Amino acid sequence: MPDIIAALDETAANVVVPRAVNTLPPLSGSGSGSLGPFTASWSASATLSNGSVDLIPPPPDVIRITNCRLDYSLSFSFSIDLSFLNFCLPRICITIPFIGRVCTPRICITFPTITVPVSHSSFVVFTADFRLNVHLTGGNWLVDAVVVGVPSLQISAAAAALLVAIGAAISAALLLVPGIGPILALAAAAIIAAIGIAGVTGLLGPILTPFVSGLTFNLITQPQVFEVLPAAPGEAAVNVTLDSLAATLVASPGEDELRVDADIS
Amino acid sequence: MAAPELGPSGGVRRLRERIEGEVREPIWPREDSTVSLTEAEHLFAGVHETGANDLFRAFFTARPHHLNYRTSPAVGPVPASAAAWTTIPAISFPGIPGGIQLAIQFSIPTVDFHPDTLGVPPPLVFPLGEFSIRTTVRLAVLCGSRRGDGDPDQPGSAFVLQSAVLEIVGLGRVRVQTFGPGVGELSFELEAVEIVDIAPADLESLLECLILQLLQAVLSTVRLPFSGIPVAGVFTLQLLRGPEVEDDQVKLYGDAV
Repeated sequence: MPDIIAALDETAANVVVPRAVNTLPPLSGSGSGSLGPFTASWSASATLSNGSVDLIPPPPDVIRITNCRLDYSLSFSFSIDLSFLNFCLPRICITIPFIGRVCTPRICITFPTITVPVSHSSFVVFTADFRLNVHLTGGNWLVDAVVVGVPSLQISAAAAALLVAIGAAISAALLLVPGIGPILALAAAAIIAAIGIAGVTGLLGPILTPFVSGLTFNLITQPQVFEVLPAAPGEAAVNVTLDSLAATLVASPGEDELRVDADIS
Repeated sequence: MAAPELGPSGGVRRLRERIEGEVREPIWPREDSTVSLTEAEHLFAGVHETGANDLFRAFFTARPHHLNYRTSPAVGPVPASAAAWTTIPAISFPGIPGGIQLAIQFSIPTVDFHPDTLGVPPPLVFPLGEFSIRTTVRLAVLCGSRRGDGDPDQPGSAFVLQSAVLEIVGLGRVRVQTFGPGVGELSFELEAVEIVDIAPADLESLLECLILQLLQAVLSTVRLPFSGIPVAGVFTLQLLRGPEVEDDQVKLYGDAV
């Protein structure tokens, strides 16, 4: 029999686990990726929250969090070479009596390469399984929950919203291009079509997935030399040594529980 | 004048009367039964008697002055550290310069949560929901006639340190006091003690009365905050049930807040 047992059922787990998830510091990353035919440089930050907790004893021995929410802020920019819009006005010549042949100059419109900055914030929800990992590190006993596998992110809605944001950003950027007025809508549509929902998904997935793959959060931290009572005037601190710690998911009739056993000396 | 009472001391007698009068509660299902640890609540914390004894040992090892009381080093030479002792005044008595020098030393107590694993001596009866406690007490008195200036730390050759060690078994209850969600403490309240094989019975009752009061005072110094229970203190326990002493554990039930 362990010296100390603590156990919580799923009701309590739905208080304790989301609180642990919410304490995770903001995640961040940067890099570059493909946005359809373009290359985008991006930076992103994300926070995790919420989720509904289900304790599932062996098998499969996981803490399942459904509807976990990943709120993210994404900033990226990509360059568009507008040369595909270049055109020339045809030269027109007319013959004027007594003057001779007069031609208009050949007028060519060339478009520059523009940089389109995009900022977008949204969220995705996902379901992930976590397995308990108990270890003694740096003088502390830690009970961590470590994600199993790579959670699948439901990013289709987020991708559609991001595509709209990209469209708005492209239109704003094109407005600054001289002479593009008459073909603004055409140019924007052409670029959006070139990117497509697949292009956005191809950018968003690789940005967000690393935030949840390898995800670990801490449920319990206990110093190996555990202070039962702090020092007080005339009284020494009272400490015990946590010799071992074990965390398991156990099945009991009617409810599943997270059980933590500790031995002290 | 009423005849002197014989038999069990007052504390034991009152305890037996209460046990005989109480309605026996059903025994809660044990851990190996088909009931979850949290039962109808959502959070459970259980301290086994082995863990409680580790906590007792840690407490009294760090704070030995709660076990050792003396009037002067002459009656309590061991442990040598003055910090390990609580100094108490000598018992004053007319004609004894400096009073009666004495020391009272308890060993680190050990507890046995219900059910009774070690067996309590009669007339103690181990009730549901309680714990037994075992310790020894060393009573020492500086005996003899004082010569010189009466300094008990410099006794003359006529002084002899007389001591006796008594084995004590007691019964008590675990109490809890809460001060808000997640904040509370456990304490140990002694209700009766028994010293075996002292005659006459009146002397036994007298000593039990004396030691009950002393040991109650010693145990009152042990207050274990929820946050001081390893692992269990991690979760903010809103206590809804307990402490319940059974299955060799003291159990707390509640909600996580």
